[in-house]
Amino acid sequence: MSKWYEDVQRQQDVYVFTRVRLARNIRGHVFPGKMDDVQAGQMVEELRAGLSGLGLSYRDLSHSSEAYRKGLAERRILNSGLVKRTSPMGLFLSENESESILLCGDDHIRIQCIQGGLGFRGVWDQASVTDDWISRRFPYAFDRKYGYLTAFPTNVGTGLRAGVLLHLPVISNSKQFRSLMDEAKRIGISIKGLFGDPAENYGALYYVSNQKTLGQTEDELIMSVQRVAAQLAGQERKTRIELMKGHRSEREDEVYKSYGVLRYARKLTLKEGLVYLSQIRSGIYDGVIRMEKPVSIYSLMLGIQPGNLQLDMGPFEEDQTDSMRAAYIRERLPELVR
Amino acid sequence: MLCEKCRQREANIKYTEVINGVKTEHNLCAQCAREMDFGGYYAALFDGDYSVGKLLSSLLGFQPDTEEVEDDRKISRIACPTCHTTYSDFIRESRFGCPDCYSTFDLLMGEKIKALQGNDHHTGKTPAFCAGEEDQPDETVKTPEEQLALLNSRLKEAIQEEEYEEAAKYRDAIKELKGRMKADV
Ligand SMILES: [Zn+2]
Ligand SMILES: [Zn+2]
Repeated sequence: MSKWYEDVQRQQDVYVFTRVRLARNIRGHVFPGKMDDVQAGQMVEELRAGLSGLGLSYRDLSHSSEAYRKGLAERRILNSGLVKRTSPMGLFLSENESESILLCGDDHIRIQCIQGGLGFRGVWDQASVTDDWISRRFPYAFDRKYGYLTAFPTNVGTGLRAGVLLHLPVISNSKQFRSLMDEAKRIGISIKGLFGDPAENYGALYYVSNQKTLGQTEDELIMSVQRVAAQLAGQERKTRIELMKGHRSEREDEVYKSYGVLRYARKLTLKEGLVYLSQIRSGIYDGVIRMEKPVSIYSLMLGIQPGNLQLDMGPFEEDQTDSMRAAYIRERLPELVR
Repeated sequence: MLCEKCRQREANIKYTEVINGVKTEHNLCAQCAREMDFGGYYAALFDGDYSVGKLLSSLLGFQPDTEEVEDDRKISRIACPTCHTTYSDFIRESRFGCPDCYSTFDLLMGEKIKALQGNDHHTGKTPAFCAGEEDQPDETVKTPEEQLALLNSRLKEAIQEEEYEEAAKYRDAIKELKGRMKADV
């Protein structure tokens, strides 16, 4: 079964994916950060047994390789801060990876649902149903005033982080983009470069999500994220149409050059890979080039990240990375329709 | 390393900012970090990154050079009876140790959580507890006055957000509720 990010049908020109994450804890237990390995092990086991009825496949993360966990972090399933964690941690994951439940990360339970394109209704309903299912089996730590209690006060209340990943190659280069980011911040929405940590943001992917979690309903939080995302998407689309009108030949040149490099390069740095793939992605949606068969460019962008590349092409030595990356893309980039 | 802003005090807060792919490292002392434009810094706290934990500490922490140092010392030793997290542990790690920490530190933290979140009352969904659970959270029936306050604040929000259809709905509900309240009297 293919992964959700390989499915090109759901993705849209600007909207790459929609994601919600709920942080939950069990009443009467200290948070994972305060647990010793024995306590955490017991908690993970109790939750694993209790949640097995959800029909997701289970993986013991404390016994999985660091490369595997790094890959999970790159695919947005695991918080990057937990990649090196050695204490007991468990993960339920659906086959297409769109639904996951992390046990004993920063909180006892983190439910995540993710889907290509824009679609909060779907991911929220799915996460909320899972949340209700769990809440009938485990008593959540819940407070009338503060709502769902979480290890970090930045998640308390709804425990909800709702986000959309946008591909914004054109407006992210504009001068107004910075002020748009500031404006969003003021109304409690964060706009972050996806590959902004630890290096730079190449690939023009921006994650728009709610900063605040307390005092607004889930619907209100989701609506505010969606509103900002729609505004950005609208501007990107408008600017792209204008750009195509006035500078079609320049756009074609950029896109075809990028394709040429990706098709024939023998070595590619992560930066090169992301920058050229971003060009191809907008080129496809702008009708500049056509592939012989549809391909999810976002999936390739994930695949060339260091962790996923090791999982797919490895094991290989670090100095082989750029060659492996070039080979990975060559093997997967379809021929062009002439 | 000295603080990049005042160049006087030791920089004990490292903050990495990534804007439009440009990464900038800031090394600040607690005092300057606090004085800086927190619009941007506050935002970074919500990414759940550990690197900003320290900054949160400084935001939630004490002013080091006030007369209240003695009091602060006493406060910093207040500990959660369940998980033994002390207030200063919380300030240092910017995370709670267990669910009971919220009620333990509510008096000390309430204002700060409100500053961080812009609000201090949950209004979202509530858990469907296991059947037969004894101490369910008391689902309080709101008094008409509480309901009215809630509707009024929703109305204000709706108007601020220019959601006039929503606003009209709240306005009708308020009218109806007021009518009922009069009838009750
Ligand atoms: Zn300073
Ligand atoms: Zn505690």
